[in-house]
Formats: sequence, C-alpha cells, structure tokens
Amino acid sequence: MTASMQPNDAVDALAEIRQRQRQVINAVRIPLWYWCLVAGSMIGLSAAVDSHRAVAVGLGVTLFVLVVAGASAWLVFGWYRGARVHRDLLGSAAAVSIVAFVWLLVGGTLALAFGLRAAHVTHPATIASGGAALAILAGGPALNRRLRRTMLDHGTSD
Amino acid sequence: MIPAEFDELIHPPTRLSIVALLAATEWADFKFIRDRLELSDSALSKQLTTLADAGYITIRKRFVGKLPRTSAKLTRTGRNAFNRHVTALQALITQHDGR
Repeated sequence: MTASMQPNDAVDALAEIRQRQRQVINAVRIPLWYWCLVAGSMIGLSAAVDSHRAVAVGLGVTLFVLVVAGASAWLVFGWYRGARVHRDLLGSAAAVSIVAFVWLLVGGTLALAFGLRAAHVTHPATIASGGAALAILAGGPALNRRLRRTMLDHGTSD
Repeated sequence: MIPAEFDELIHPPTRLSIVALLAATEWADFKFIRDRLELSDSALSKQLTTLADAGYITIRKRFVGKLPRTSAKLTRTGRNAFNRHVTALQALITQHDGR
C-alpha cells in the first residue's frame, strides 16, 4: 500500500485527521451560558448568606449545588454535545489551568470577602462574589481559548 | 515511540474520517458522527459495522428516556492502529522531504 501512496495523499490524509480533531474540539467548547450560570449562582448564594436568614441560606446552598453540579456534569460528560473529548487531547497542562483558575477564584473571593468584613462593609460576601462573577465572565472564555489551543497542540500535527 | 504501519482498513477516506473523529473523543454519538461527516444513516452504519467487526470500535446502544441512543468508542486496538497509521503518514512525508 505504501508503494502506491504518494506524499500528497499522506498530506491530505493528515489534513483530514486534523480537521476532524478541530470539529471535536470546537464542539466541546464550554458555552458562555455556563459561565453566566456559575457567576449568577455565586451571587445568588452570597446574597442568601448575607441575608443571615437560615431558610434563605439553606435554599441558596441547595440551589447553588444543584445548578452548578448539574450544569458541570452536563458539560463534563458531554451529554448535550453528543461526544466527550479524549483525555489525551486535554493533557495535564489543561487540568492544571482549570484547577489554577478555580483556586484563584476561590482564594480571591475569600480574601476579598474577609477583607470587606474586617472593614465592616455591609454585604461582604455578595460584593466579593460579584467580583468573582466578573472574573468568571472574563476568565472563563479566556480559559476556553487556552484549552482550545492546548487541545490543538496535543492533536496530530500536519 | 509509535511504530509506523499503514492500516488498509483505516485508510479509505470515509473510515479515516470516522476513526479520526473517534480518536479525538472518549466516545461519540451516532448522530454526532453522522452530522459532522455528513453521511447517511446507512452509510455510517455500514462503516461502523466494518470497524466493529475488526475490533477497532465498540458500539453501545442504550435508551435515554424512551429514545434509543447509539454511540461508538475507539478500542485500544483501534487507537493503536490509528496512531501507527498516522505515524506512517508522517514518515512518508518526512521521507519524501528528506530526498
């Protein structure tokens, strides 16, 4: 078979493989609605916490867990997209990026909330999570772009 | 290092596209593959059956609610064959460029 195959055929075949990888990578991108949902849920939870009412806190925590866990599972397992990206495409660098993003958000939000509380500002959790929500809306799509670049780099080279 | 080996089963254009798509996924729905490759149901079924018979993919049928849902996954054998095939393609290009 190799004898009958020309280098141009091989170039075309690799280009086809690359195109199919791109199709999968584009299909599994985290949609903007996910980042909006997480940001909105964080603000909702923090407003409930700042209300200091047990019922509101209980309801806020329950809704937050259900919404964020449900949306995340929907994304991670690829149910709505009809495919799940292969772990080799993502690689460890992508996992580190995701974990770093989450920890930066959590650390930044906690630091801001405690700082505001120490300064006796009212509704410190809501204000801090508002900042976190903005960071999610800005950082989420940026993380998307980084993950996409990583997956393309890990894909078959032309 | 992955050994280079052309795979006659993978190389035909339609099957190469299917395997390339599956290689980028843990699994993919029948509908996902069909729509991305713009194939008819029967054409895709035929190719998937050929790949499954060779042990390159597994086909899973399940129900989501009352709707049947079919998905395909590249097996370890299929993934290894694909990787060897890609290495062979790259080697052919390198060999030609080196002349």
